[in-house]
Amino acid sequence: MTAAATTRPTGEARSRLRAAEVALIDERRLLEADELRALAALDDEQVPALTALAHAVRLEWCGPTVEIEGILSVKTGGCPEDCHFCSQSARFSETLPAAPFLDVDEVLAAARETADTGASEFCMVLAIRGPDERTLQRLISLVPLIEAETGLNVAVSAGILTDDQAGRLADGGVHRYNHNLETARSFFPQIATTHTWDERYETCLLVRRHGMELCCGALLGMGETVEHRVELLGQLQSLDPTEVPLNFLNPRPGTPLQIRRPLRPLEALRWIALFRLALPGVILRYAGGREITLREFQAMGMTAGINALIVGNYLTTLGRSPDEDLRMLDDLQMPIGALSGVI
Amino acid sequence: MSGAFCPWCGTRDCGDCRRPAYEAPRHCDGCGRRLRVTVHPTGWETRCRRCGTVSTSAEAREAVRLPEGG
Repeated sequence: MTAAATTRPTGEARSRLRAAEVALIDERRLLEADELRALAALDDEQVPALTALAHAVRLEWCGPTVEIEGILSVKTGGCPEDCHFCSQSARFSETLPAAPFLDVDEVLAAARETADTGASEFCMVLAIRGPDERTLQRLISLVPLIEAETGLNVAVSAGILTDDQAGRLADGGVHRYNHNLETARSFFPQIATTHTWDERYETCLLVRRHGMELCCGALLGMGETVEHRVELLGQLQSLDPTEVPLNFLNPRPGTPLQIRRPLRPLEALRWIALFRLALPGVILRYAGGREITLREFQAMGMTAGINALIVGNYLTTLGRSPDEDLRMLDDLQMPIGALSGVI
Repeated sequence: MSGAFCPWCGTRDCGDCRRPAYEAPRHCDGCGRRLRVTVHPTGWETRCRRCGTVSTSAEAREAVRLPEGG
C-alpha cells in the first residue's frame, strides 16, 4: 500500500466528519441520507473519530445526563405474531411457554427493584399483537399504583394500538409508549409477516398524537444492509421519537434468526454513533443484546452517543448487574437523571 | 440444579452444554420440560408445570457462593 493510498481516504474521512460536525453543531440541522451514507462508508480505522463526533453531538444536544430504565415482561410468551427474532412467538418451535399476566404484587416488586437502581423510568412490556379490553384495563390500573409506590415514570409496550386505546393510555398517565419499528420498511417483510411495518408506524403516530412520549427502537443484526439502516434512520427522523432503544440481535434458539451471528463490536459502535448523528436530540438507549455484542466495549458505547440504559435484566434474557452499569457511569462521571426529548 | 436433565438443552445426561451467558435455565432439570421463566430486573424465577419445582436466581447465586461441602 502506498503512502498516497493511506492518506487519501483519511483526508476524505476528515472532510466527511467535518461536514457532519458543521451541520450538527454549528447549523443544528439533521443529516440527510447521503450524508449518513458517506459516514457509514468510513473505514473501520475511522470509527474512533466517528464515535468522538457522536459523543460531542450528544453532549451538545442532550448534555451529560444518562437516563436509567428498568423493564419487565408482564405477559410473556404465546404471542400470535411471527417476528423472526423473538423467542416469545407462539409460531416457532422451542420458544418460551406462555405465562399469564403477572400479579400486581409481582409488578410492584419489579418496579421497586428498578427504583432502587436510581432509574427514572419503568416499562411494562407485553408479548401480544395489541391489548384487549381486559389487558388495557389492567395496564391502566397499574400505572398509578407504580407511580405511588416508586415515583417512577411509567412506560408501556403493548403492541399495536387503536386510536381509542392510545387515548385511554395517555389519559391513564402512561408517560411513554414503546413501539419499535425494528428495521427499515423495505426490509420488514423479511422479519415479520403477520403485521406490516405500516401498522407499526401508524401506532407510533397515534402515540404522539395523544401526547405520550414515543419510544421507538431498532434491532440491528438481522441481516439488514447498510442501505436498510440508513433508510430506517430517515424513517425514525420522520417520526421524531423522544427515545430510541437500540437493540442488537441476540439470536434466540428456535427462532428463524437463530443462525445469525451477533454484530461485531466495532460495527455496533459505528452504528451507535450513526444513530446519534442521525438523531442528535433523542434519548438513545442501550437495550437488549449489548452484553453479547459489545462485551468489553460497553463503556465505549457511552462515549459514542448513548445517553440512556436499560439496567438489569431484559424481557426474557439476563443483563449484567445494575452495579456494573452504575459503576461504569460513575467512572465516566456521567450523572444519572430523567431526560426528555430536546429536538 | 443437579438433576438428570440439562437445564439448557433439556436432554438427559447431556454433559455437553455450557451455561450460556445471560440466560436463566430453560428446562427443568428433573423432567426436561420447558420451564416457565419470569425474568425481573434483578433476578429470575423458573417454574416447572409438571414437577411444580420453583427455582430462583437468589438460590442459584447462593449455590455458587456455597458449593457442597464448602
